[in-house]
Amino acid sequence: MSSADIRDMLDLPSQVPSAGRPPPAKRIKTDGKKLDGIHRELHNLLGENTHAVTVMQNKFKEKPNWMQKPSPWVWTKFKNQARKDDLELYHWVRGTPTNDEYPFAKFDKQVDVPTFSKEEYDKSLADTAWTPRETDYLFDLCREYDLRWLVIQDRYDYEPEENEPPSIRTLEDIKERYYFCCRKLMELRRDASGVDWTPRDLELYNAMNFNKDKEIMRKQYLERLLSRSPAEIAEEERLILEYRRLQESSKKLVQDREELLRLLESPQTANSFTQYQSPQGLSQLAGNILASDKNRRRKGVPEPAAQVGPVARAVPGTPNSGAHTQAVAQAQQAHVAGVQNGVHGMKQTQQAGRTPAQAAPAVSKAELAQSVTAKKVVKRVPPGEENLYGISYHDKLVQGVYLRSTKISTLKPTVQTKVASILAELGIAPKLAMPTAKVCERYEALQQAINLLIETKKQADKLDHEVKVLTSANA
Amino acid sequence: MSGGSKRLKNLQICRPFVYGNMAVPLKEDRSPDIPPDHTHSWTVFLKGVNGDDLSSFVKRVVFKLHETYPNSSRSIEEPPFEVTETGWGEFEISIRVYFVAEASEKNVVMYHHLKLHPYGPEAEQQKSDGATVTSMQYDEFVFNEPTESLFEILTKKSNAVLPAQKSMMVPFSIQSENEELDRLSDAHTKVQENIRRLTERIHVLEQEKAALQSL
Repeated sequence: MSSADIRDMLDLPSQVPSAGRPPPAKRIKTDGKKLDGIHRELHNLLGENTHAVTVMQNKFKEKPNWMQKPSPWVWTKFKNQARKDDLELYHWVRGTPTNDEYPFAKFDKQVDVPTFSKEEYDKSLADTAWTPRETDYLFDLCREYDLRWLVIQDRYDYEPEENEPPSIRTLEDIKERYYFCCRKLMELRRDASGVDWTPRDLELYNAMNFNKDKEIMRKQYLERLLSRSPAEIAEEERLILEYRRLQESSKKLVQDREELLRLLESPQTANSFTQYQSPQGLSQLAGNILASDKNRRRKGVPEPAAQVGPVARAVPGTPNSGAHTQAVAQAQQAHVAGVQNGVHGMKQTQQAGRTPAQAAPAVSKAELAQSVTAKKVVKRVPPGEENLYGISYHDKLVQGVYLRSTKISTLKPTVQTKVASILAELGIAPKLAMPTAKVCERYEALQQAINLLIETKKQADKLDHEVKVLTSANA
Repeated sequence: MSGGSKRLKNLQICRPFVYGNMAVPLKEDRSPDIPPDHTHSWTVFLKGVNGDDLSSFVKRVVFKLHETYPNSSRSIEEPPFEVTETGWGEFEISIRVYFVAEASEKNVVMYHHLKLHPYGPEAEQQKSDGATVTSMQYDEFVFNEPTESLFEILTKKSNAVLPAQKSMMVPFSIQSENEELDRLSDAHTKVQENIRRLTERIHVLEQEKAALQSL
């Protein structure tokens, strides 16, 4: 609202007495583009906001850009250079006719069918089945029809002279004749001129190596291939697949065999082991092992037990007589002794030498070693004091420590109660007052005896009962 | 000394020992920091027979007392392996014995019921006397296939021998062992006698049965 309006409403005198001056013209904002028709209406409706996307349709194409200036067409006469006659034809040409080479003349390509003179023919192209005239006829045809054999064969209609037999020429015949002649001509010309063939000539020569029989067979094959029935085609496919499968399986078999052989053959022995099969060989082997071991110990290398192991084990695998195993045991002993104690080596070997004589031949390394050390240690303790120290020997011992009171054997709970009651009757406390070795032994024995007692009592009762039944039955 | 962590096969060595507790009723003149409801002072111990020193092969002993005791797990690393405490109740104490490193053995555990009040036939008398109550158990450590070092340790001194006679301090002796042996032997003979009689009876019965069956 302007101040003038307000004054007008409130009937106030105008502030500035400038009635003469017209109010400044209202400025109408005009857009850059002219909007026609529907766009103007829309614009008026929307106000200052134009819609977001305007679809501009080119109702008319743009004016095309011609490169050329317009020029008239002329009905012109022309000659085709490829033609042998002077035929003149007409065609429309734009602008002024130039009489250049007819643009399509260059497509008239000819095949190079060689021509030969009579001398050349007589020299090398003479053939019993072909007369010179027929050969010429053939060559003319080839030239005419651009070596298209099917056409040539179709058009081949040679009229022989009276004394000649009628000529029935198959496609292969004429091909053969043609190529034969060409090759012969090439050879002749090369020999005559002395210039050897270029590689390209050689290629050509080799390409023209026509084998009639092969060609005939090839065409027959193709014929047969084409004329297979669908059933035949399917069967052939199947056979091919089967064949391939068989091939693969046989290959696999061969591979597996190879692998097995490889497996069996490894590890490879450097030398043969037959030398070790005799007793002397064995002792020699033992000596070798000892020596190598001593060397290794001197060098301070950790002994490769694994290496020696298989050797020592492989050796017993050989013929197994008593002497052999004894020698083997001795070898093992020597090795074991050497391994254990370098300083006491000699003493140990002597001791070890004695023990195998007593022990059975087939004894493991560790056990023997252990018994050796045990005996060595125990020798220090005089035998009488064994009881003093509570030492005892058993065959089978489970390693570990336990309380003697815990090792009293237990029976089944039902049996245990009966045993316990009997023990109570006998006046033995369930827990031992002094579980020493002897006491425990006795206690065990007592328990077993009580067990036996219970069993016998059961049997006696059963028999008693049976007898009673029988007597009552009989009575 | 030849170092030996090798085990001596087929060898078994044992060492006897004693464990248990002694308890004494608390008198009026006791130190004030004992809680008033404690009635007894007791000692739980693990020791060898004949004053034997177990620490040669025992590294430490762990006595696990009742949870209500502070630091209820008492670890004793030096002899004498014992724990002295005051209390009012009897409970089970677990005694775990750890062996020296040379032994390469795992620990063994035993349980002992703490005895404070007199028991047995003279209970009444003992109660009125205010006598010391003892509850002890004899047992033996049995080492199967000991290591060399352990063997050497155990054979150094001759103290696996039990004293000949019973005495107040040492209730376990050869004498008591023999007594036990005798008891067991007697029982054994009785049982054998019974078995014999029963087998005789079985014979008789079988004959009877055969006779009856053949009728």
